[in-house]
Amino acid sequence: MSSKAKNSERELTIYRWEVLGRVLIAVFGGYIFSIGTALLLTHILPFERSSLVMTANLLTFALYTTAIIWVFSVKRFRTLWLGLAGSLAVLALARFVFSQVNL
Amino acid sequence: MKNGFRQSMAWLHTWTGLVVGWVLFFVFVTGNLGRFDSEIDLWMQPEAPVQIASLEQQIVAAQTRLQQRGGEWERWGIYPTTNRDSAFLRITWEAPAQPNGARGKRGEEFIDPTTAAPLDARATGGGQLLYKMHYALHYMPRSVSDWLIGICSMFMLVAIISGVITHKKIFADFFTFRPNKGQRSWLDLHAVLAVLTLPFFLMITYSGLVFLVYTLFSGVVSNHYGPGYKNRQDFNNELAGRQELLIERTGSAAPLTDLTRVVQQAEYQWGTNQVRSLEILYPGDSNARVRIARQIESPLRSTDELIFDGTTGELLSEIPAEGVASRNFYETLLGLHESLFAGWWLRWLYFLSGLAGATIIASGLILWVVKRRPKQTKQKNGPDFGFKLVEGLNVGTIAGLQIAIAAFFLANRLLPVDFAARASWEAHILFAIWLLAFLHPIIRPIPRAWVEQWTVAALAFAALPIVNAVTTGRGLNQSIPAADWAFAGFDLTCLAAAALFGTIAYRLQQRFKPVAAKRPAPVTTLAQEASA
Repeated sequence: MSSKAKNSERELTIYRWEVLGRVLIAVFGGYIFSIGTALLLTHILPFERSSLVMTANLLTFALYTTAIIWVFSVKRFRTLWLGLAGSLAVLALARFVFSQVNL
Repeated sequence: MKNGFRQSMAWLHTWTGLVVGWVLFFVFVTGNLGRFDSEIDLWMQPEAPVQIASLEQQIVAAQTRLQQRGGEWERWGIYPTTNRDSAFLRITWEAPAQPNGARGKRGEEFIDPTTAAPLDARATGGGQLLYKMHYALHYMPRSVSDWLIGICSMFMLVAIISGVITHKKIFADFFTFRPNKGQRSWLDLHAVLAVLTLPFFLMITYSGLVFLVYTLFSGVVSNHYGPGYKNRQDFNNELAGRQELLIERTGSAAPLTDLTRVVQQAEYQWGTNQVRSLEILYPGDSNARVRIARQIESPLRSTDELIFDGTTGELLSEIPAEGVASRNFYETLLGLHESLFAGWWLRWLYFLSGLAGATIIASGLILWVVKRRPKQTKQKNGPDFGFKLVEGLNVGTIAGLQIAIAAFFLANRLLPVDFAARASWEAHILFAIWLLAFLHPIIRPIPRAWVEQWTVAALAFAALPIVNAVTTGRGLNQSIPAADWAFAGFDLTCLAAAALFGTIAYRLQQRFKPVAAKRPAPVTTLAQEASA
């Protein structure tokens, strides 16, 4: 086997693992992101409790879809990790801040 | 990913679409038949007399029957025949929520308003069963099917959005169709229909997901209201402003008020023929409540409601159809999905859009195969297993499901009327035939399997009006002069389906034959032509 073929085979393996990684991040990371953002909205928006929950309900799927599309559109894997970690950190921080305010 | 944004989206569209395409095809076909669920109900119980009882008589019969059944119930429902969605007077019952918070067991029954007994007609799942399959599937609990359908729908939403992004020339493609050009034609068909019905497709997918939000994103509600079905009901009642329903059972028994008097009050307020349904919360308890809903006349699914005390019959509150913005949005999405407001023209338009949706999914699945076939058939060891699997599943799903549905209807006419388990056997036959349709492409070459299955589907649908005429005496020669539109419409639609499937079979056969005669061996062209 020539070294070129070996290289392309190695690239293909990396590519396949990357696809799997993105699928997992999109499905689970996207889910956590969308439900986290939806819940955060229920603490920010100035509606009544029931209306807040319904608004969040209606937005969840739009958020989830956006997250999934983003995961597959980002060029570099590293950007993806940064984006994921960053958004989750922001969500957690915001959640903490609002839980303090609401109390 | 590696390449540009559009390529990534094309990749995403291809694979998300493929993974769930078959389930979604089933969902689209059965859900689309659900547009005519009540008409199919009528057709599937041909001996049931036409119900012309007054509303009062129906309410009396329903209350009598529900009270005869005894037991302790969370709620009862009564659906008189005051609109198209109830072919027969229907009652429902629901047990109190289970200890784990899950919704209580539910049941329903059609009632004869003259005798207050269950409808004296053959047992059948009817159009309701077909309609329910599109979200509850079959042979599995709702907790499983909700997740399955939810995940598939989420894939579909991603496939739609990524498909739109992949798409460069949305306006040009509106007018582009190049028939008889193999892969190009499949792509055109896929794109033309998708561009044309994009608003419908997006609406039906997003609203379908919103139905499942309480399962897929249950955390949103439970974070504020606590887990379980009961809390979710509280949330819904609070959102709608139904304060009077946010109550518990007292535990002390009290007879239910005369429901006809309550209904009279509603008719007095709204006018005749305006009562759509009754819901009785905690029947037999001193905290019983009666909620009466008005007819649905717009895409907004929520209606005016009157809430009465269930023991005294006193009017407690009036709920307007329109409420807070988020609820209106939610109810409009669901209303658009269910099309309960739609008259005949709009209902047929919905049906055609659904057919287009099923065709988009089918053409996408076929496109996957057609695109890969040249390379696959040139491989030394023949096509990959995955490729052959997709090919076979396509035949079994797209053509096979049609045969299975025809078999479901034929079973309704041909199983003995007094056979006790006939309702469940109608469904068993549907799935048994469908299973055979999946096995058939294993033993036959794929082009032959297509032709044979479409032929069988055409014959089965052509047979339906004949079998109906012979077994019921309500064939087209009777139903058309009698303006019996449920029967005439059903039979004529079967004939249209037979013509469509027959044409497909004939055209595939034509393409298959000359090539086979001219050149003996080129499998590639042969197979390609056959599915073009």
